[in-house]
Amino acid sequence: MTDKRDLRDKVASLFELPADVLMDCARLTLIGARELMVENHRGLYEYTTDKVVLSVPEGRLTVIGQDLGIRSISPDQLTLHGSIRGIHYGD
Amino acid sequence: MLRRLVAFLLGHLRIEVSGGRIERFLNLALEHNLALWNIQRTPDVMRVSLTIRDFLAMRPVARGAGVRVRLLSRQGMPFILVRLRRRPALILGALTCIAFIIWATSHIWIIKVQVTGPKNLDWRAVKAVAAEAGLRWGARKGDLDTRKIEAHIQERMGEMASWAIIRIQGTRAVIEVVEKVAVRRQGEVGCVNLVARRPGVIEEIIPFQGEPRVKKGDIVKTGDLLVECAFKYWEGGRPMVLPGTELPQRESTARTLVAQAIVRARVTHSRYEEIPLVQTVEVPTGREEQRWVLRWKDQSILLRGNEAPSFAKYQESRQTYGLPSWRNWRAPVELVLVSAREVEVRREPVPAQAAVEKATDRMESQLRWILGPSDKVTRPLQAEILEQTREFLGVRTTVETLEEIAQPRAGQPLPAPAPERTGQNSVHP
Repeated sequence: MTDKRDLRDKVASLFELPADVLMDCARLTLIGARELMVENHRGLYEYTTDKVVLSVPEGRLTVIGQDLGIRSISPDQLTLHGSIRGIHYGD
Repeated sequence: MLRRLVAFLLGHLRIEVSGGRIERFLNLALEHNLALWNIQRTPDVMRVSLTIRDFLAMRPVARGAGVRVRLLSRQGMPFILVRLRRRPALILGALTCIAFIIWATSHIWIIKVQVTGPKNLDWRAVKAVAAEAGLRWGARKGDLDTRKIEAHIQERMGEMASWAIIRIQGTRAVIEVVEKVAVRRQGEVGCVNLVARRPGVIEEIIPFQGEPRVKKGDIVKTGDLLVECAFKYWEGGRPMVLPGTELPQRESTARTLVAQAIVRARVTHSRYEEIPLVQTVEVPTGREEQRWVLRWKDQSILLRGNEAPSFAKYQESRQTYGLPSWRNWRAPVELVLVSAREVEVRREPVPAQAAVEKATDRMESQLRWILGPSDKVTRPLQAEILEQTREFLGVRTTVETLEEIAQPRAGQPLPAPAPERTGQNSVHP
């Protein structure tokens, strides 16, 4: 699995392709500190008004903030809104 | 935006999810391909929006997550339609309102005339001429051919208007007319006299510009000079005269000008007319024939009835049935019902009194055209029978009016005075 990831990483860097095209990873788009769009997510572990933990191919993605809400959710994309304070991988 | 619009059209629900595992509910919803939006969380419950279809497919998701679902509100077009179905009067009112707006906006309600030039052209005349070509208050915009109306105005008012253009702005039609302006040769000063346009006895003359050539009580014929286009003065200054005696006429002309004055005169309008004392009238016999014709563009196909009525004399009336036209679109097919009613031609005598009334009516309608807004009738209309035979009645109608009789006529212009030389321009040897 790791070999496969390495190979994809090498191909992506060789052909200067965006990593999210070849590699199985989440794509995060942050608009200011108000909206976060996560593509290629795998679901939710936790959802409260000040913390949202998402399942992504890399593991867990934690978003910390205030008044967090989900604008929309579909199998391939999730949009969060609220006052975002921090994003990190892991719990 | 698009998603919101689709959700509105398909209808969507707002639900409240409580108890159980909320996150599992969201994950199961993703597995079942349910689209959720506007998710708001409170410590105890979660509020979610979703489409009707997804709501119906949500039962296994809620059961799997062990949550309770409560419906909060129903929004969108399907629910509005259900509510409206219970109020037919409201729908009828709204449709009537829309139909009225469409109808009102497809007609002309304001006609404005803008005349550019020396303002000799009366805007009411322009409006009347435009009305002849169909541009009148309440006319359908689709029926108006602005090119034709412009050509009609040009044709009727070509002597005064150099060009006319019509702009349709919503429910307003603006007729722009540019008047013709007389081009004067360089070095000439304009000269316009005032002459009498009909014979009469001068009652009042108020000159503004020019030299009056008539006075109160004078009898004038058509074309007689009333006010001369000249600015006159006494050579050698104002003459000394005894008090109470008239000043001599000013004889020397300083320059020519456009004469302006109010000249009112008593005018007698007389008209002799022979009114027939026997008239032919068409009396319906009660017999009627009908034929149905299908019209397709310029072709007519007879569907029912005879090609031509079997009556010797008849009156025809047509009634057209077709799809309603909209704006400038007209249905190419229409059904025409032609009704021919047989008539009998009879010769009926006309009483002398009726003939006299007819003559006075004609004179009155002629006067309405002749008299201006400031003119008035001083002696009422009188009718006199001059001749009476079996066939006709000769009636003379007479009326006396006090009216404005001056009309402009071009005079002989004088050469423009030479410009005065100033000290700077003069040449000294």
